[in-house]
Amino acid sequence: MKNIIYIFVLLISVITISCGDGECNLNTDSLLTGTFSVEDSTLKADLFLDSLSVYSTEWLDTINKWNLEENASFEFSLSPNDTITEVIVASKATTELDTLTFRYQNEVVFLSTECGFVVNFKIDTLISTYHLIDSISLVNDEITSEENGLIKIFYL
Amino acid sequence: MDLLKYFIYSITLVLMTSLTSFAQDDEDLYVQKEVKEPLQLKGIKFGVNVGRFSDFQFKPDRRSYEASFDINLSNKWFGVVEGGFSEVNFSRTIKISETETDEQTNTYSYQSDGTFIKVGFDKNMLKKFPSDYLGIGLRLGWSSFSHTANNINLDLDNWGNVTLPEMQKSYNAYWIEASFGVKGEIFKNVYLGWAGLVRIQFRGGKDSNFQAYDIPGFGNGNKSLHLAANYYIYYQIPFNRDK
Repeated sequence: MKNIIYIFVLLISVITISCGDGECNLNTDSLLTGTFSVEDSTLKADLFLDSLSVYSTEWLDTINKWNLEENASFEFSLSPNDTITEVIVASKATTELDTLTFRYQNEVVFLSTECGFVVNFKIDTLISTYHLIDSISLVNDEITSEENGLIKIFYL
Repeated sequence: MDLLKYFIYSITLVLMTSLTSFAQDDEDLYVQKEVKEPLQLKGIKFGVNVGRFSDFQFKPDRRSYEASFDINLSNKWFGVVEGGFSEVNFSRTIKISETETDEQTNTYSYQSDGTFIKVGFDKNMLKKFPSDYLGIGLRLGWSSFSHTANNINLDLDNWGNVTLPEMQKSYNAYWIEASFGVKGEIFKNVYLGWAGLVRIQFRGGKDSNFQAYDIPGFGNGNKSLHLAANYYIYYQIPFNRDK
């Protein structure tokens, strides 16, 4: 009887000890996707659509969209330490700029020990200037590591 | 004629068998009922969960200690109180992406500590070896703990290295624990035992933003159902021990 007990103890120990932490297999980026759409490609949008840039004064890099095709998209993260992010959409072909202002709430989420922390966002308002942009549409205002947010930017 | 003899013989055999059965049933009516003896204090047992010491070797991020106290009533019923302390302390560096020239990593540090207590009973199902134990138990568990994350750094494409503010939260958690285990008296009054445990958390300890990595006494905070095992060494102070 006691031998059976000891063997069982040994087996359980091995099983318990074998359970270890693994690597992160989840997406940890909470991104906002923006798409450029042209309502009528024969109009003035032709002048600047092939040389768009998206940037923020606080970013390290600029997102350049050369040779832009219809429904081309870009991705970026809102500022995790702020509730306002301003993004500028510019074209090499013109000095006119458009500014997108996002006001949002953010929350830090502990995904797991393996994946660490991510920041999720909920966009409350989106304001834009309309120098080159015709209209904007906030399609998905929830930005999580599981699903990107989505804005559509339309040009005439 | 032979057929008639065979028929009579068969009938007689069936009747005799039936009568014997009836007689047996009749005797059963007069079997004396087992007299239940009143529960008697047989000992007080103190134990230490030695399984927790494996953390030093296999889970260096965690330190936990657990002790047990039980009251032995006639080697049948045991009133049990178990309690302990647990702390977790680690830092992680998580590789997000890697190119030939650059590697993106997120980092954070995590600490948690708390105490727990479990109250319940064990029922010994052994009758032949009354000083040993093979049985089932039930506990109600409660844990109070807090956890903190700091040095949370995210390496984001646009923003570069961003440091997030420290997160700190405190919780209570409650669970029910069922056990099946054995305890054997390896030396006089010294017992070695193990138990398989099923824990079901029914209240507290949940947070959609900052879920605890480890709930003291319960286990992984991400799960409401937890399977575990414990390994105890006990010393029993005997009372009214049979000679």
